[in-house]
Amino acid sequence: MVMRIAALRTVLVACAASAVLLSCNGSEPETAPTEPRTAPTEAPAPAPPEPAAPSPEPATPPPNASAPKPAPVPTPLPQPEAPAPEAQPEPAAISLEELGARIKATPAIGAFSKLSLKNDIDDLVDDLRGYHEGHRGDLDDLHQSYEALVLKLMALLEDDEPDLALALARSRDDIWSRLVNPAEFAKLPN
Amino acid sequence: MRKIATILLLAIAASAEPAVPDDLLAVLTLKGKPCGSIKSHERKGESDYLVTCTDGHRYRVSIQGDRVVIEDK
Repeated sequence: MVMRIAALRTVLVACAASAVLLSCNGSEPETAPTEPRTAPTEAPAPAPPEPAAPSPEPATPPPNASAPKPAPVPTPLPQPEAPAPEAQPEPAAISLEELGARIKATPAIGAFSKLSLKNDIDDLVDDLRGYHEGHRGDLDDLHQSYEALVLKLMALLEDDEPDLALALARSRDDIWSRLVNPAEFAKLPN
Repeated sequence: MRKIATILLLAIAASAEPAVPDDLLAVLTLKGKPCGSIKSHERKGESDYLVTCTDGHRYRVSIQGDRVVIEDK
């Protein structure tokens, strides 16, 4: 009988202990929610909910360190502002008549040189006239003479009249096409 | 006062023109004449110069009619 009572007591003690343990297990989920909460919140890493939890857990800063990722978003902004092309006014093309007048007027070329250039131009115009009137001479040779003359002029002008030299360079093809065209050539003053 | 202004304008215009040796060298270059640079030049008449080049060439550069004429000397 005594043995039974003792066994019953042990059973009761064990039951009480298990009840206490069970009650403890049931209360733990209420105290521990902070730990499980932090783990799920860290994974998505949204900034707003984090600030409340960070005080208990100093381990959150490392995940916050990965926050600078949004930085690449502002970087593309300065790029569109970078291209600031500064358009410089380009010298316009020049007509044959204006070219002649400006060469006459420029102080960049001396009297001997101007007269020598005029002699070369007159010779070229005579050869072109012969080509147009009777197809005398070779057009390629005439074109070479013309190009040589243009280069001489540009060399004389480039130091003191760079704009005129550039305008001549831009107009050289137009002027040649006008010289080669019989109708346009006939309009030139003799 | 007006005379002084005229003289100043003429001086400015003259300084804007290339110097005679530069003009002579430009003409020789345009005509494809070897020269190097101008060593000396001597005026023989109006628009008539005798030019001595640093490479030893000598030329007479003149205007005859309406053409520039270059003769080897």
